[in-house]
Amino acid sequence: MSEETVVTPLPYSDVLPGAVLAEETDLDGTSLVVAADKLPELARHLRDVEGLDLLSNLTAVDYFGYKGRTAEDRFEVVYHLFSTEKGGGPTVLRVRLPENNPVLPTLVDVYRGADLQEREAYDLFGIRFLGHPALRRILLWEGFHGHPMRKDWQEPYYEAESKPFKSRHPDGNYAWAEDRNPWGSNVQYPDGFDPLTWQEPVSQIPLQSHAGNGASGMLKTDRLIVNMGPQHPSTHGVFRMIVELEGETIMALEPEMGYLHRNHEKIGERNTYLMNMPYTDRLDYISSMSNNLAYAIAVEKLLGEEYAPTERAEYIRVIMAELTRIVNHLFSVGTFLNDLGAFFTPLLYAVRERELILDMFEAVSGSRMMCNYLRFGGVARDLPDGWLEQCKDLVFKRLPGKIEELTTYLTGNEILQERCIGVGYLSPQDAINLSCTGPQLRGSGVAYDIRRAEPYSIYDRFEFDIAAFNGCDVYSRFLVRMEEMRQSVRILEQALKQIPEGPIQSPKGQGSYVVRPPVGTVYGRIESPKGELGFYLVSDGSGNPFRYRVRPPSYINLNALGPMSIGNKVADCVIILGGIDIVLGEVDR
Amino acid sequence: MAENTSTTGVAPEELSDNILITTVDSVYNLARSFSLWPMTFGLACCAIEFIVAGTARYDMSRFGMEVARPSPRQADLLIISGTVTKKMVVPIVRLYNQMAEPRYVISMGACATGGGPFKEGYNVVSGIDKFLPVDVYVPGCPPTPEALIHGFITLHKKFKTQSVRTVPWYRKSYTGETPIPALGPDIIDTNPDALKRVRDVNMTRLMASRAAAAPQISLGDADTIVLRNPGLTADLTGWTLQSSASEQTYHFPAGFVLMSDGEVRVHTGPGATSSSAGDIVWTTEAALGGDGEKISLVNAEGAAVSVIEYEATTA
Ligand code: SF4
Repeated sequence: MSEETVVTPLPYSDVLPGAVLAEETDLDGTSLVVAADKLPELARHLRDVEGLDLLSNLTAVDYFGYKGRTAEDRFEVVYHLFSTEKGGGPTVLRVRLPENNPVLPTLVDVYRGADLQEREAYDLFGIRFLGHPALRRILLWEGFHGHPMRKDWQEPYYEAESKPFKSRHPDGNYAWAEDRNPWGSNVQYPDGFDPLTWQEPVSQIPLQSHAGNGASGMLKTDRLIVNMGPQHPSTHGVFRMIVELEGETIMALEPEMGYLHRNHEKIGERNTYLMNMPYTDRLDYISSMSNNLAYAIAVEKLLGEEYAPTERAEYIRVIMAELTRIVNHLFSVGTFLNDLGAFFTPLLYAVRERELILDMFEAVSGSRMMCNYLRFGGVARDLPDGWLEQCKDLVFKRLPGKIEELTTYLTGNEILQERCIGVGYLSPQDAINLSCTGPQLRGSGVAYDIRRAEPYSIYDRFEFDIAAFNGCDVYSRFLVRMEEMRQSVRILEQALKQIPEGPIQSPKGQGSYVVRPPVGTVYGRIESPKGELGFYLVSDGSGNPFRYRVRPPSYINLNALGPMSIGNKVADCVIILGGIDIVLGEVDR
Repeated sequence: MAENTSTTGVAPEELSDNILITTVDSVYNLARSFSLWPMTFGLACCAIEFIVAGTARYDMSRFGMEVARPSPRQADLLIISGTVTKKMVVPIVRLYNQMAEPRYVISMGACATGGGPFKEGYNVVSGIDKFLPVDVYVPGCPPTPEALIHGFITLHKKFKTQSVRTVPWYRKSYTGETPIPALGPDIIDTNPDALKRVRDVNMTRLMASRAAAAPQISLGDADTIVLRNPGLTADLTGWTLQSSASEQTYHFPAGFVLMSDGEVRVHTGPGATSSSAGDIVWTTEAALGGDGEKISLVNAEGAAVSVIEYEATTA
């Protein structure tokens, strides 16, 4: 028998023999298991020859205690590659690494966007990327004890083997875990740690340093290092930039984050699938409905056909997602003008309509910001009476005028143009190579929108244009946001006209509080207002995700912050950051 | 009489309608409560509602609170608007220390108050009140702007209960400095008492784990036995090493002490010499017989503490 089986050669075995070790089929397509040492070569081939130019998601999984895994392949680093040209689904690469020495070559030389994500994998999993230019901790601080996303890293409060909540209810009584903790506060020290002799490690943020010789090279000048944040009115939360200046010109800029790292992914593994839904609200807390949508889509992929949302639910989801996009862009434009120095007045204008939309959200979900509205297979509640009329009123009458008003005041404004045009230049090639998505990418003229490139939900039914401007600067990003609001209104108009009556939940999804999806992995992604928001889930068949990874758009867009800022004036790095439109809940998770 | 009244401090007639008599405290509190300057400082999701509370629909300037200052030195009110992480609590305490008295803290939302949905996470502080004194807690996740404004009003009410005579910040001995925590293997409370407590607990735990551990023997290279002590420093007076095959016994000399984490090598066999000071020579006969045997470390009570067995070698 075996002589007759035709052995199909592994992919790319002709160009790079031995690079691909196996081809595996999973819940959402095939993936390639790659030999660690051949990875950069293969990636270069995929980028240059196959056109997979966007390294969207890079993450690690710790398969400790997973069925069928041993110490030899305990860790896995997963890469999701896309093509901005052709669109479509991902090419998934997996590199398996042993427990005792999880080392693999970096991809920073091929995809510069791997930088921050590799640092994150190092920080949380202890996986080392050889050749990475600055493999430092990113979300936690230097000197932190252990790598918290490893499965055998015990959280201070959840030392029981089984999660969730067993340890919280000894004998059925509620007990604060921290009262039982010997330190009396939420801490974990290594054995033998002595606080009295301990010295704070001096962590150095490396900035590329040149000898200061003035712009003309004639004058001896000094470099100045300026720290902005984590408490700074223009960093949009607790974000820190370390800027090296020559006069007022930025010579180097290093972002520093993690000040809002609230263990989202670790908590996600402790929770059941549905319990994560309200947590996703708190990722990008300006646009919670979008986050719900991305997560619901990922879990539904995992759960299979039975949980496919109903017609009406799909429409409700699109309506909510597009309203969210408008909310987000209004807020982002408002705060962006704050950063430009037009303190608060434009924000007051921008936020007015946001309030009206938040009222609509409150009517359906009960909360203005943290909606927690979507469920697997549908939405939580149907629209209340009169909601659609009110929404139509808003979308047909009020929002278009509002957007035009903002356009009149802002787009042609001379000061705004003066400050933004040509600032924060990011070429299309760089934007892709740095893994940028969303308005950041489209502001560099790359018309890549997941709603078109890999349509999800029912976006293929609507007519709209991809907003892309090729100024490659902050102004273009601003224009993209303004234009996207118009396109969102267009989608909303169609959706509000077409929305059918019917059930809002698939029969299977009705009241299913604990779902146990089949074993497997999926990657679900949407075009959130900030860029590609993806969820990578690994299921081991139990009620909670084995690995719950968020691909946060604004975190990954920050890859470009340093490169964009160099050469600009120090006041400009504020608006360059404003142009990326970060939300710290999502950056740090 | 009429002449006298005008010179003994009673106001001239034309002003008498414009004079109010009140206490210093009321004036002090009234003035303070309607020009409370919050710091422009947002931590997480709750900060968005804080920003929105300043916009036209909610308009917190009705309460004299709209002058948000980015510098802690100019602000009177610190609104902890979001999740406090271990990494962030260090700067927060520093900011608080930089604020001038009288200063107030509002803990806005579930996270700032007790960790909220992220309570007990490895990088989350279960409530800012573990580090700073909080004046008003505003519940919610996030609290609506109305709830935040209610928090402001509650704070104004608190002002009314304060008196210039009793407030702490006019006392001579008052510094108002709060110890700034530090980041180590985890967060470290640099308060001397806390440090001592951590150390004591740590030491107790270390001791407990050490006390449970006993000296162990293992095979070293050719004809050597390595005796290691992972536990507390032990006095091995009366202890013995016994080999089963050759029935030899080594008695540790009286007062032989093996330090905690210490190690000593025991040489046997024909060529046994103490190659370095401190090593023990057991026997010049073949204690480690070539045909496989058992060597035990026996304590003063005669119980075997550690045993090694090895197979016959066919060398
Ligand atoms: S209380 Fe809720 S809304 Fe506020 S910071 Fe915490 S999670 Fe966010």
